[in-house]
Amino acid sequence: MTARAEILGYPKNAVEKMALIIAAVIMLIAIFGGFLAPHDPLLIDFRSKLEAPSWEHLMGKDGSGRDVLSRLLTGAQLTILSTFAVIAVVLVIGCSIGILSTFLGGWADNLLMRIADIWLGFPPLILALGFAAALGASLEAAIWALIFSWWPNYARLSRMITADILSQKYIASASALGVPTWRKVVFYIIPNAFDVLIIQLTLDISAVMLAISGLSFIGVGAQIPAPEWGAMIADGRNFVNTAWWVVAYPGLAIFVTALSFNIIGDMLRRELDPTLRRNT
Amino acid sequence: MTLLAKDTIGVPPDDILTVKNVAVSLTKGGRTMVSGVSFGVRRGELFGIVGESGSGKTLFTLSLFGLHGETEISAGEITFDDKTLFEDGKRRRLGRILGCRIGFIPQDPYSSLNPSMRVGRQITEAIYLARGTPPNSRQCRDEAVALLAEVGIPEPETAFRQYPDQFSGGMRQRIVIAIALSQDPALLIADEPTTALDAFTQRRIIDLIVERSRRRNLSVILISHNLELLRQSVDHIAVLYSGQLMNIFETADLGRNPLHPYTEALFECIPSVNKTLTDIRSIPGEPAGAGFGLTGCAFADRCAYVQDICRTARLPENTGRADSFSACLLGKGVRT
Repeated sequence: MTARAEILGYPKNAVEKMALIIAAVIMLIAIFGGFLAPHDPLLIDFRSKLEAPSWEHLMGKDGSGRDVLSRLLTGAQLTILSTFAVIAVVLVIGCSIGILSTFLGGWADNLLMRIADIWLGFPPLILALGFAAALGASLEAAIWALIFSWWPNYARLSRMITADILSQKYIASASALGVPTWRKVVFYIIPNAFDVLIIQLTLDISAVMLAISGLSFIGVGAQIPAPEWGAMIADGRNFVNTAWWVVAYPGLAIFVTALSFNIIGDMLRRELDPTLRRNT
Repeated sequence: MTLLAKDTIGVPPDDILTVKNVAVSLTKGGRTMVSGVSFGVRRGELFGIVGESGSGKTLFTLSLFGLHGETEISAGEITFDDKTLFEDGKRRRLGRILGCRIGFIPQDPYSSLNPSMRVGRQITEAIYLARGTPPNSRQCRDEAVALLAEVGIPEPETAFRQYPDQFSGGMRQRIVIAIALSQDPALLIADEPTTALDAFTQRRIIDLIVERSRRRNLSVILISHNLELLRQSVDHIAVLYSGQLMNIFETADLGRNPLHPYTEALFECIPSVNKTLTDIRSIPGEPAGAGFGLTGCAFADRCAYVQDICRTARLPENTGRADSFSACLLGKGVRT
């Protein structure tokens, strides 16, 4: 339970250690990538378009002669930070609704959860697609659309966890000690829900990232020339036979990031999930 | 005890808890689970409630203070610490009693501590809720460490910073007791505090509760299915069966006065080193389950002395809240 301080002790094999290191590096790139970029990611130079990778341009140039490596590094910020924005907002909104719903109980609980159920009945990407299209194509629209379609997952999950925690004996003990409801939420429910939430959260990072890139690829998310990874793939897909590097590097970046966060998610699940955890 | 003046009009001045004719029913469906229970718990005494599984002992006691989520008091009168908690079908002033005047020790120490909060913090939190002392203050910390020492936790300074899962069951129950004591309650409710523990640890936990009760002049309601354990540690025992109050007797009087047939049968079920397995009796038949009501004796089907009147007459009630009471319709057992 002292989980938060022990994350470095979790990796059981080289793959999980690599995943942690890669995720850490990617996070750093997301924050400082703009400063690391060797060239201007938006500088167009048609004379050198689709230039093959060289020592000067490690990942070559795209269809408008922009440096792919610089775009990738700068774009990490767009892709990953918008992913985290979606996750953070969805976590807050979803959990608030879930916890509130549990405490309200009765018909209000039923109403909120049935709304969430109906929401979950739509394929999330299609729902987000429709919403983003309605808002007008931009990265912000894609973020809002994903928040809009993703919250029921967390509402359902936190509803379930809260109900489970409320049935625990330590909540009855807390009632006997006179703990008011808001203190129960802050000191009893949120800390104990953390372990389960963090697993879902890590697994969702890759899902949301794929969704954002997917929306951008389709054309309702980030727009070229913004160096968002999904948009970069969309931009380069016409040259995939002649200039593989334009598509392959952003694709690889998405692949590696999503895979690392998935591996970390599975690792956290193994270590933290109370149903899988070996007896302590 | 008979020297104490007991009038039927007012509450005897030395009672911390008085329960008159209380019935408890389920919130959903309204089925009455326990009915017509009356007794008084004196200040500073240990009061045991014994019964088989499903007799309603835990349900009843927790419901008195609104600690049971699925029940409500449906009739009767409850007075605690000279304040009326329940009368005329209404609950009153519960808010300020939980968390300062009543301490609660639940059944299972493995699940009754918040797993993600440090032990020390759980105690300082309780002190804060009872008295408003800031949980991070030096004074509050010292008090919590002193309490951990009081309940016999070795190295209380270290324990203060540890999490519950770093302790054994017995140690956790001590921590739970420390939390309950931290609010300096007038009444401690211990709901089968030792069922999850091994025999040796059971003894030590009960001894700790008894000793703390005597030292602090703290009233304790000890709920248990272990009659022998209660006989050795408490002053009065109330026997519940299928939601009916069967018997109240003083442990000091045991052997001198006759008991209710059910209590006698319970005593014969107690294993001891002198008995072989075949010597240990069991009561024939199955328990009737809670919610029997007040018509007829719930134990009639299993009782050796049963007569026709046992199934039809209304069960006597302990209206005077006497120290010795037997609900036997045949008049077995002492009634004062």
